[in-house]
Amino acid sequence: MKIHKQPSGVVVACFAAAMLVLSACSPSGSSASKDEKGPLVIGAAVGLTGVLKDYDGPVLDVVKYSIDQLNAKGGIDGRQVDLKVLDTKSDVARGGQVAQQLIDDGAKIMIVSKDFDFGSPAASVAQKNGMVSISLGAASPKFGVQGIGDKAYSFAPSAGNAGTVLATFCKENGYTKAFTLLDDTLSYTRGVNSAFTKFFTNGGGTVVGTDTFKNDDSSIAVQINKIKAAAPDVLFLASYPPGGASALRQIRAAGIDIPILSGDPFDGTSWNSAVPDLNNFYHTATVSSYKDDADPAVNEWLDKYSKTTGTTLTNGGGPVVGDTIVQALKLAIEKTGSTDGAKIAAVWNTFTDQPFLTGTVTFTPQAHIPLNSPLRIIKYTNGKPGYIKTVTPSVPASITDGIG
Amino acid sequence: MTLLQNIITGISVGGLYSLYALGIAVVYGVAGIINFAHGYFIAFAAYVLLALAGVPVLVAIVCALAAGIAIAVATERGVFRFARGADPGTLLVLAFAVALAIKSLLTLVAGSDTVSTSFGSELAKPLQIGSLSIVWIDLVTIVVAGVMLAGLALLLNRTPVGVQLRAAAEDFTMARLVGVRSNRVMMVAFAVSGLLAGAGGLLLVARSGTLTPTSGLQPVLIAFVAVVIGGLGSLPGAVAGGFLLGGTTVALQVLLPEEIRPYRDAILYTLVIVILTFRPQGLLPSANERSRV
Amino acid sequence: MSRLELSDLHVRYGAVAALRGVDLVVESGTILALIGPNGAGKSTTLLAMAGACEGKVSGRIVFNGNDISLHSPEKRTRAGIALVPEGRRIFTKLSVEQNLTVARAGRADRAEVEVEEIYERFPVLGDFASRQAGLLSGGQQQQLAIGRALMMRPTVLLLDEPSLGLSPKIVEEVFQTVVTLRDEGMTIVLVEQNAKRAAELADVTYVMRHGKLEGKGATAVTEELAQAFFSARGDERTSS
Repeated sequence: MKIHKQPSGVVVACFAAAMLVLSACSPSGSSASKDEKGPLVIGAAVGLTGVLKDYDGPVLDVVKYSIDQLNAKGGIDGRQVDLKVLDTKSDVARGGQVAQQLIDDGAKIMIVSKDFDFGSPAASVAQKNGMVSISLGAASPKFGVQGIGDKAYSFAPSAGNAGTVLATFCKENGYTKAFTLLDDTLSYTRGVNSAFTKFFTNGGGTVVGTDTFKNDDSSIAVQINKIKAAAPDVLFLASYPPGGASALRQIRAAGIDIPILSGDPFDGTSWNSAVPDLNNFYHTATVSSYKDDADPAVNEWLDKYSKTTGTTLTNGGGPVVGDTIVQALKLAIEKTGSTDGAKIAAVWNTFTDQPFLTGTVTFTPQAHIPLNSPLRIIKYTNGKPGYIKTVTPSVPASITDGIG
Repeated sequence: MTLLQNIITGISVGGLYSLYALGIAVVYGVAGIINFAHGYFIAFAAYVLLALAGVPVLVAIVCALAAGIAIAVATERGVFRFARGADPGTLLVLAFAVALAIKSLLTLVAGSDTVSTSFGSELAKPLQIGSLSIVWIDLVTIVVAGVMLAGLALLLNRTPVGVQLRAAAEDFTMARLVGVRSNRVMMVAFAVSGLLAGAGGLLLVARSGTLTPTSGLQPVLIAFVAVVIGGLGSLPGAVAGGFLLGGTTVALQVLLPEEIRPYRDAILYTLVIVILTFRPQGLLPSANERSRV
Repeated sequence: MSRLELSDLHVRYGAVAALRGVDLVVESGTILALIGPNGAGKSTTLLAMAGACEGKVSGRIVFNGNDISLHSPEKRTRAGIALVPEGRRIFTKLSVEQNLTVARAGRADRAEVEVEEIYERFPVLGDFASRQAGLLSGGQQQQLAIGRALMMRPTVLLLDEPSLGLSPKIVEEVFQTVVTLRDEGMTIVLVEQNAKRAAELADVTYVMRHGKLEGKGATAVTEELAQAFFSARGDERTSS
């Protein structure tokens, strides 16, 4: 397997070298002019197989669905949209290569994986070709100007956004003594943990104890003893299923029934059976996938999606960001009459509380990921999830919050 | 009291790790295969348990154990039997191939996403004895590990097939020269490792309530490290290695200062390297570690 | 009745030819001794008979009229061929008794050979029945190795260097056992460094050299002994 990887690494290096030469010769941005009348080609360099399958797949399904809906109504700016998808096989080294192939096939917009590390190689290739790239939902604030370039965007709220929203939620509910339990296996969990800690203490709360664990730890009994000893009135659980759900199960079984807060990774019901009759558990969500969202448009959209596709969203409301991506593209391309990366970026950079199905989005020339969007809160009562409210951050997060 | 609680947690985690490690050691001892697929035997048995949601729990448990045995025996008969006597490198690659095949099968049937079960959720609750609170699953793990270890010891010491297995583990060719049927003893070794995988899978699910096709990865890595610490090919060594690794993990979690706790596993494996530097043959090496050709 | 016949037996270990065309008949109820210098192929011949040779074997091995060339070692034990290998290779982590009982697997009929029979022949094994076999002395281990082979009730016993590393007194005991077994009707193939003593015990003696049988009987043995005498110093250096 290792032997197989090496040549593909070499190929990527060759591509990179070739691109350097190309970009030196031809002015970037010329890609927009040529076939403006044919179908509009959007490339997707994503992981259809491998570890990203269950992350990229559902969002891409929504992107496809929204494009189909759009095409039925005449497409973007009178042009039909053609989504070309190529599998990166969840291989970081393959991302750039696949993106180049899509560009050769005529792609003008690049959609990349739902993770900074996996998505950035393809996004960088798009950047060098003067194209915008959009992540299917990277939560790292590095996805944008800082980590890739001025034409890279993510429409999913940053980890810092979740941190400040959950800190605000604590303040609204009068929780002042927090215990933070960090699953330190992902940069996302580290990021959301540091952001929550910062905003919670800035808001007057006290962190009465902290501890760490690993997602696949067999037991967190030791950590549970520490939580009990610290006597917090709220527990912040920076983790994700399956290990996060196992932790939740052990914490609840140990008789700790204080409110537990967590981020978007808990959206969805696949882990629910592990913690039967769960109460007092809260997590942030892109939209509520339980047809009880405060925005009726979301519930209508979900109904129409299941009727049209014959499937339902399986892992929470996260994938709906796929629709936001498509609508944002439509908006910018119709406004500028062009697919040129710089022109689309110029429109997006002016987004201020721009409304979408997934909530409002604000971008600046520096911030290409939502940092302070209001987020939905899902609460579990007797093992059943349901929308309770949408929380607007009381303290704004910056681009540096939530970097793990 | 907290100290006693932590010690019980350590014994429980250690017992679980010993079960994982024994499954690797039994097969290595007889067949000379570092069976990387063992973790996926564990996952396979666990998935069977989850697939049987709704049937009586005891039936589901028996089926999961049987599934562990079945997949292990099938692997021996379908794959390793044709590669007997191959060099260790080939066997290792084969084991990886089997691991991938089982993982792909599980992904195909159940998807790569998390699945969850309420199985064992009652066991996550604590048993309160005065101020001492012990989680039930820790007691169950200790009992199951104890029963499995005792059962295995009985099998290996008191039954003809067990004695044959030990003879084969010490000197496979000589065992054949006293009439031990190689196919049979291989099958028994894999069946025992499959049973251990089944028990490990049940405990894994009962602890976590969640499962993915890669849930077996962590157990097999732990098992491998435990087996190496204990001494490759030594069954008591595997048990000792498992308890040492589990106990040390819990001890580090308790004793490490807050700031360096995230580096727990890095420190743990550094200790492993230190042990192996001073005792490259492991703690309880088998008497005659020989090369197989 | 147990007649073992090798014809045109070749064994190669990679590029090295260990046996190059051995033809040999072992008659029932006799002791056949194979002597010769190190590396002549004596042990390889025994291993090939037992089916445990790791090299590439070609040629025919016929036992009691059946071609067993392709049979597995465990199948050959049940046919009645038992090997006491060089270095004894007892199972050191098993008890003395377990070393004996494990060999029940090599019996053709399922009837259990009682360990008591073995303890009668080798009383010291009975005394140490529950001791871990690795703790026995060299002589006791050799008795155990022979006892283990006898548990299979063989008709042919292949003995590879049974005197190696034992004190002269013990060696004599071992050889006495060999003669007793022959007198009880056992067919024995004996490979020995101690060529002189082996030739004295044997009913027929072959000399091996360079993977071939070079001679048979008294004359050949005398020549071999003479050669061994003159190269004794060199042999000693390479023999252990």
